[in-house]
Amino acid sequence: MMLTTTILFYVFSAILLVSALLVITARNPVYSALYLVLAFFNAAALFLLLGAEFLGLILILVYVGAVMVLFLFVVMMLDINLERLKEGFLRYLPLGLAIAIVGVLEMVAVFWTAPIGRVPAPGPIPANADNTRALGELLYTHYLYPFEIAAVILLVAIIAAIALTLRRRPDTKSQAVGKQVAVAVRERLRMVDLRGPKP
Amino acid sequence: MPEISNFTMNFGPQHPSAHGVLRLVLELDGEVIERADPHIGLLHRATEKLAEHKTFLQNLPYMDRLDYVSMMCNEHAYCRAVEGLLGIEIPQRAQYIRTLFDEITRVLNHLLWLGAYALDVGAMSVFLYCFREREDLMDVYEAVSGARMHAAYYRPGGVYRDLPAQMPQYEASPYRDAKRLEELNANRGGSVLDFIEDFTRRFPGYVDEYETLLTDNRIWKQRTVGIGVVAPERAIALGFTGPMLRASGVAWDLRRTQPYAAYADLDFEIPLGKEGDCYDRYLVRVAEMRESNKIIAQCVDWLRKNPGPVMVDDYKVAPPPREEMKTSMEALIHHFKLFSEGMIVPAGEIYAAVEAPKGEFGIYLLSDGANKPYRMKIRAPGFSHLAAMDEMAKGHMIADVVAILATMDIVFGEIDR
Amino acid sequence: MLFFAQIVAMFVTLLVLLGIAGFLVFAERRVLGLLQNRLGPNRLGPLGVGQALADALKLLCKEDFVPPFASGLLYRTAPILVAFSALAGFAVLPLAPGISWAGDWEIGLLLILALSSLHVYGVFLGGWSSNNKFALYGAIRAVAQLISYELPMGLALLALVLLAGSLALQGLGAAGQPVPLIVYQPLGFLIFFIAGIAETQRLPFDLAEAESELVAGYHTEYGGMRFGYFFLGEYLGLVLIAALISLLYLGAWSGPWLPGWLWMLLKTGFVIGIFFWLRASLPRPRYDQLLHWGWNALLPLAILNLLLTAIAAALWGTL
Repeated sequence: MMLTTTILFYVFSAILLVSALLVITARNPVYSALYLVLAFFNAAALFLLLGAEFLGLILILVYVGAVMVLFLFVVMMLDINLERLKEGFLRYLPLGLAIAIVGVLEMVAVFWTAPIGRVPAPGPIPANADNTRALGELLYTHYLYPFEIAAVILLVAIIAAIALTLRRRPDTKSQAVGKQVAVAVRERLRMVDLRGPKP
Repeated sequence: MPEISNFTMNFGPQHPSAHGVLRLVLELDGEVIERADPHIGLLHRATEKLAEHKTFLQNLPYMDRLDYVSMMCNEHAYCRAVEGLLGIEIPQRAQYIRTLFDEITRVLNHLLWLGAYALDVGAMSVFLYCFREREDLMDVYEAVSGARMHAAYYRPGGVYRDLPAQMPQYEASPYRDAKRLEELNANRGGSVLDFIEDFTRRFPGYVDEYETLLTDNRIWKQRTVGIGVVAPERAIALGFTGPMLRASGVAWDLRRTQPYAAYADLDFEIPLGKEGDCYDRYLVRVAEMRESNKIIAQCVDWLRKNPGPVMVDDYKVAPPPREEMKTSMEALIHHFKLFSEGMIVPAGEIYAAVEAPKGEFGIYLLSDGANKPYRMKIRAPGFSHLAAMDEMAKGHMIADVVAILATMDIVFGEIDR
Repeated sequence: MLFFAQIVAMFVTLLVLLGIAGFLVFAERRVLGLLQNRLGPNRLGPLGVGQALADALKLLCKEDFVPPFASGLLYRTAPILVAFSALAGFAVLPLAPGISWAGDWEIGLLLILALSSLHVYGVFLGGWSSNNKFALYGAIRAVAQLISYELPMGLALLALVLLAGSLALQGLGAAGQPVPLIVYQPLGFLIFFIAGIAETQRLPFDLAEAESELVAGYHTEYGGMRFGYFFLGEYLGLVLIAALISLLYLGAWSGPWLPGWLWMLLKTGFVIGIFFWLRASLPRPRYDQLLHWGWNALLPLAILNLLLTAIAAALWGTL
């Protein structure tokens, strides 16, 4: 059993790493986004292996089901000209490289000092552990304020996004549903005879 | 910053709701129509040119094939044009039969329109209910002319023959048992008039059924109220006729304003809309079906009481009876001349129009005194309706284009001719 | 040995599900025929049942055609995603206590929601990779619709979870004994029902494939068995939603005399019948009206429902 889990872990991790790499190397942005979806799936699978089922499924629900769909939605609608994008490649190369090096150095520094391997591994998971409940209890007691603040920030972001992109279109003919439904046949239809007065 | 560019879409000719072969080039901003450009001509058969090479009688069946949903009304306009040039009066009974069948045709047309419209808006059952009633009326067509659609029943000088005394019945078949056969033939025992009368009694109930499904349906209202609004002035300016015009509130109906056939003697009312949107057009057409039903009932009543000839007895225009041909040489010659050379129509020009289900269907005939028309021009109501597509659809969405198109009652046979 | 037996049993379940989907296509045509004053397929086999098999054979025998302008890999994957996402949901669906592949999994409900987000990908990729304008419009509509209606659906379920205190489908079904949860959650039931129709994209809400507007929507370019997969996905999705409705709201396997699983099947069949009936009677709203209804009516109602349920739960306790 242990062996199966280990094999599965390496399989999922390998796919995760490869697809993460392909996200940045794929030429077509649509494929990039799809590789990212694949990466999320494998991350979710890793969570499942760890016994964190709730986290795994939420990752799929939120990132795959909502965030990435919207990403794809936008990417597919755009008519991206790859030639134009590649134009300044050499010009920006030094700057890009510099930023990448800084990033790598920072990562190394973090991992160097991080307590990897020094934290004791968590004990065996109790048989009737309900990690949804456990997460909920922690989130709504210990981390209540950060949680609420995060919610408010998200709300602000939603409102801002809508306010920024809302496009009024005066040339469209729109209908008010309430008025449409309120229309009655009596008001609309009248019958006329059209015959002149009888001779 | 990338520009938001419009999307051009080819709506048809191979599209389920292109109503035949309409090609509509839509310029879309999202789902909103910026421009709707109807392209016509894919069903062009040069009927007008063909007419110049056929005798007046041979031209008649082409009329059925123009607006192939309201066949006899087209024939009516053509017959009236020829009769006008000939200067003949047709028997009263023929006038009533024509009125009867004009209204049957109107019901047929509106039933198909209603079914197709409902189907385009997504309510599929109404279509099949409408076809149930159409079947009965098609049988009436068949009973009098032998053809379900392209009847060629009206002839210059009257109608081809009097109404049969016996309604055709269903015959036994391995696919239906005796009980079912009896059901099918239940109202076919009597004459054609009996059958039509039975239909007029049943029909208001059927219209109620359609209205139950649609008229007060929330979704139906959402899809039709306020869609494709045409103001009365614009409707007149665009050359609208028929229900399209009346839905905008303009009181104009050739049956009343320029009465022909037997309409002057009949009691019926003209339904008028108010706003000129798709909902009004729907209401007007449904109300027209009910009024047509009343006219049919009145015609049936009159036709029962007043037997008589249905064709003029001028053998230069109408063929002599077959019986007479067996004994009279002159009659035989008349028959031969009429069906080979055709009738000679005096020189002159005329425009004759009828209130076809779709609007004013007119025939302009120019005769140089030969046996063929020198020029024929067909005024198809659908043509000017379709021309208003851009104005009506602009600013609406794709789904509304479908609704507007369906509400115009487009038939390409008459538009492309 | 047990492992092997399980594999065989799973395979049988799969076949049964495919059979049900095929049968439903036939059943729908017959029911619509009944409602629309016509016959429907009635020639092949008793009452025409053989039609389902004939249709499946026809689809299988058709040429496997990929349009030259489509992006091949995605075009091929999309229908499989759709069929898979519908099929996999049945893994957690219990027929009766104990009759399920993973019904007592503590977060079975979440899995179904997660799979429905996978379904979105199938539809979207199918529409986009076809490289056809009608298909693209269908895909856009489908995604907007599915995302918009997933929210009220999830919120309606959340109220249910709050009441039952469980995310496991087995537990939620058990919470509906002896009183079906529709009694506690009438509003939630309506929301879930409406959102469920929208999720399965059936007629009042079939805008993604609206024939009269978009020809066949996102699967315009598909033919043969690839189209069959979309079809399969639609009908399996229908069964799944109907089964969820009867499991969550209609008291699942409770009922007199008959065994539990039969009751569950009967209730599911009843709900499917209602879906057929709706298809025969209602016109189709417009795309913007559908979204308007989802965001401005259904979503606030779902939030209200959740709030009321929470208050009630705080006052009188949960089940």
